[in-house]
Amino acid sequence: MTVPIEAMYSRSRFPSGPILLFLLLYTPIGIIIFLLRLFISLQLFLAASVLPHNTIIRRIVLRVLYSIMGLVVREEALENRDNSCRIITTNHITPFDHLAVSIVLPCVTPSVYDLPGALSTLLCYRDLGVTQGREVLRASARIFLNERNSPPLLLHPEGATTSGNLALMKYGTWAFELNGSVLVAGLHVWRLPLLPVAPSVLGASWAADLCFMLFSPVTLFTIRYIGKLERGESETVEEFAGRVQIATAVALGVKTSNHTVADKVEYMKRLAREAAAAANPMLNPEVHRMAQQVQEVLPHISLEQIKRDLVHTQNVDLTITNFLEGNVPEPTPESRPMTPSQAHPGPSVQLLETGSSTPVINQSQSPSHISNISKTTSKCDSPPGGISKPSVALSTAAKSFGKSASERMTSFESRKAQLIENARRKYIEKHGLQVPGYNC
Amino acid sequence: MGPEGTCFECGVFPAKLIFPPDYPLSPPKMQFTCEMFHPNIYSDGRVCISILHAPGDDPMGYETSAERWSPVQSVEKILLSVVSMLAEPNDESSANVDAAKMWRDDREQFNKIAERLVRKTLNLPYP
Repeated sequence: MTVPIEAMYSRSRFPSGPILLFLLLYTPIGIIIFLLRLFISLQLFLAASVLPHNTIIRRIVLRVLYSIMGLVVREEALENRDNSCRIITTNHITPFDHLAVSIVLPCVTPSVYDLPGALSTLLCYRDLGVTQGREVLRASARIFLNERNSPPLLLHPEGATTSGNLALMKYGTWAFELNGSVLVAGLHVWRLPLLPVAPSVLGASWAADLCFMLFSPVTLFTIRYIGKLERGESETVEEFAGRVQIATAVALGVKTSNHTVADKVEYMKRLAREAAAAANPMLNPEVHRMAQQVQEVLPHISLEQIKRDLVHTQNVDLTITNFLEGNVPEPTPESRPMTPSQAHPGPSVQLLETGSSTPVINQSQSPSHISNISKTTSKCDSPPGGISKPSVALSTAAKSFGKSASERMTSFESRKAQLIENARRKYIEKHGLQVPGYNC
Repeated sequence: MGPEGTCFECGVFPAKLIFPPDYPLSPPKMQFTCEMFHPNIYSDGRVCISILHAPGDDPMGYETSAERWSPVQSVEKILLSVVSMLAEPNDESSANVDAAKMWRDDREQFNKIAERLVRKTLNLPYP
């Protein structure tokens, strides 16, 4: 039976329902704990980084550090633990899985971040060239495993984190190509049931996960050893990976699934798209559907304009009324198509909405009709009126709608004067008049 | 404002719209407050176009009811219609017989008068 991909991951950090109340009550304490831990762990972290490698004191310091961070590790089924294995595979829940494992079982994991050498050693990372591609990783992992004193390599065959509660993702094969035998373990992350903050949520960064780990009273990692599994003679890598996955799933009491890392990435993309659609109401499918309804009634108005109005009204009838009554603000009047009834064969005319709801008629260019009136009283040597483009801006639309009546009247009067002034200038320019105060 | 490419080009013709108490059921009235000379404008400035007439107002049946006033019409539509009327007078249903006659028979004289009106509205001297 297949597990839906939505169920595989935690989408929200916090639970819903009455339990959220405990979380709210805990928040002040959590913030204090967070700050205390932050400073203490910074100190210990610095201490650990200057201490020599592989010494007992350093391991003690690290252990204390992790305990202070609230990261506690418990081992289960210790009889299955096998220290001879060079590869350890576990499922993947948080970005700190390998730290938890390394407390009880020294190991390193391939680094996916470009960290400086000392820091990556401290965090149990080893640069195996993950970023340079699968082949480089495989080769450097082989070299690493052939080294004498190297610690075991911890791998997460899932390739990405899950919530760890419902199902495991498909185990990738590359972890099992390196070596015939692997130590298989299952990880389970537990937090206080009263404060069930998800250890890692979809798309969260490691920093966010770290913050919530410091915030939570305790994060208990349970490592359940399953034992050493070896690839059979006739078994393919895929079959072996499947066997390891099933064994891990059985031990953890979860299901197996066929979702791969690529599926998770796709799923995250889909969520991001949906979130973008929700954030931008213009892309909302519901708005689109309503806009199409409006356009059936008003086919001459662009879908874009309808949507812009619909976002405010959320109502088909209201928007239709708005368009019919001309209550729709037009950011770009030039792009407005003309209605068939308005499209007369004469000069094209457009209306500009003015702020004071007194429309001012504006003209657009219609060169074909200019020529027949150029019988002018041209006296000076300016270009013939019919051909020259009017250089005067005719738009007198107000930028804002005044709040008080007197403000609106002032705006109206000044724009009216402006309109007449513009028209006069245009007329003079067109007819090449010489009027004192204007052009001579 | 007079439409481009016509004899009324560049003219700014002030007018008032009078809205009846039962607007939008009844159409508003429009009256130019400046001197106008146009086949569809009475000498007192009242505008005579189909969109300002309620259906049934026209016993002659010149206009189809589609062009008539209805509550879904808007001020914008009225103004557009008036601008288009300035561009193209409808000499079939004339309000100013003299203007209609001149428009038909002596276009040049009509243009001259229009130009004079335009200049008057713009406060420009006219010949």
